[in-house]
Amino acid sequence: MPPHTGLPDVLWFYILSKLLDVESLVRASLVCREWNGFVRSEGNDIKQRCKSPLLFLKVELRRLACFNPQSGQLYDPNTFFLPPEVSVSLSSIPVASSNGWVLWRYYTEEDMVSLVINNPLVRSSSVALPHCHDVQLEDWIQPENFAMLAAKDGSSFCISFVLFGTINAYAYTAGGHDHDQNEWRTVGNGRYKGHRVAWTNFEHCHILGESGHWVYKPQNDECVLVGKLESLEDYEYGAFGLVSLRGELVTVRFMNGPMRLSLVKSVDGFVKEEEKWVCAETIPYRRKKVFICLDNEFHHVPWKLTVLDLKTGVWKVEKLVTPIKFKWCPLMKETDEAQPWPKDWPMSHTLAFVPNPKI
Amino acid sequence: MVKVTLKSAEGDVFEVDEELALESLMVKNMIEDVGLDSAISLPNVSSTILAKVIEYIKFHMDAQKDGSKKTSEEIKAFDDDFVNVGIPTLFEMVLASNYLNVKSLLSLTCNTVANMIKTKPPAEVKEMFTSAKQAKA
Repeated sequence: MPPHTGLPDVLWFYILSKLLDVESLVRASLVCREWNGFVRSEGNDIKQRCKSPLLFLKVELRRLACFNPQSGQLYDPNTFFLPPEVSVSLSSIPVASSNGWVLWRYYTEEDMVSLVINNPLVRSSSVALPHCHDVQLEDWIQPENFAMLAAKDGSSFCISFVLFGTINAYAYTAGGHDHDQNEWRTVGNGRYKGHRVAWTNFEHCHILGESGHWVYKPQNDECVLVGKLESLEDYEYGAFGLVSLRGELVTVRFMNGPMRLSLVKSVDGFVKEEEKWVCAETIPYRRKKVFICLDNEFHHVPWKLTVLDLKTGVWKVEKLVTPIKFKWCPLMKETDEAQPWPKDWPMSHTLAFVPNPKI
Repeated sequence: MVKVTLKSAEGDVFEVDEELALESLMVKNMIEDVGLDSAISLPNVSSTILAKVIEYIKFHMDAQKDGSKKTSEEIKAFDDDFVNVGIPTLFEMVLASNYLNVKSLLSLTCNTVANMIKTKPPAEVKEMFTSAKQAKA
């Protein structure tokens, strides 16, 4: 039963209009479909405030730090919030982020892989996802296999990940109870091994890899091949990253050292790539997670913490300002015993980006 | 002093000063339309809630009068105490103040509900208001 049945909608909306802070509005949008609709249409100040500088979450084993990558300013760990679920698991990490919302992978007490989404700047904003039945005990899904798109107000989001060649997709709308919403769908049945996924909008999940370019539409649960490959080696073994930038697909690939970014289009049934930028730096690791934050920044995290400025088509690389010392927030509730991240574990997937409405 | 007779949903009659009755824009419009000869029927407002609304208006009218010694702290304390009721009663007051078109009371009661939402997670908000609805039923 929706909570608003005691009062007519118009009065609830009058009440909601009195919630003037972002946190309250975001929480209200998660209560039911009607409130979500109101907040999305009227709560424009959420969108305004979310266009602020980024925060940068960095996770090492059992610990999490938060800082502004442009100034290096550290934030008190007590000013951001974690989903309660992540304190259960030793290896809770953020695996994707979008518009301030972070997707966390964690293990339940029964060692089951589970997912939860939250906005680290909004208390009690967690939305726990139902268990995906395709995920078995101890399946270790790497962050580069996840893709996520979230509305700024958290009222809807789409998530997908590749596991053993099958795409698992989940579309969520706050308060949604339609047949097609809020449940996991599987696509491909093993066909998409080594493929990458990216959402260009809430209706289109792109799947790219050795079998070509596919588009999955969660609304009608169909997956269509839109482009065949001209050369298999482009996407062989999944040795590339895939991200969505301003509604377009961008691949990230390392060509014998330098990193190359290309726009992807499927023209006349074939996948075409248009090279946009080559980074002269040699980056040895080829498959790690890449991020695009806001419309004008590309963040490439492994090894060098590099930021690419995409403003007006002029591309430049800047170093992130990294604080010399992090203030760590223990992820595990029962202990603050901090351990260094094992040297042989790549760190690139331990990061997420959050626009900070408080700056 | 001219008196106005208000009749609640249960048929109970409340005789109030015209000045007080006119604080409700809805009652004011009805008086303009039908005059003061007969009782103003308020089928959407229960006796309990109508008594509360009258109490609220009377207190604030007195507080605004010249020579009133009520401080802003006292007014705030009255308002806080006035809305310190269960959610079903609070909802009835929201509905009544909206129906009677008493803007200050509508603002006070809606602010109170908004403050309840502010500090609670979505699931708790849902639970709180669903329970309130069931309690009312």
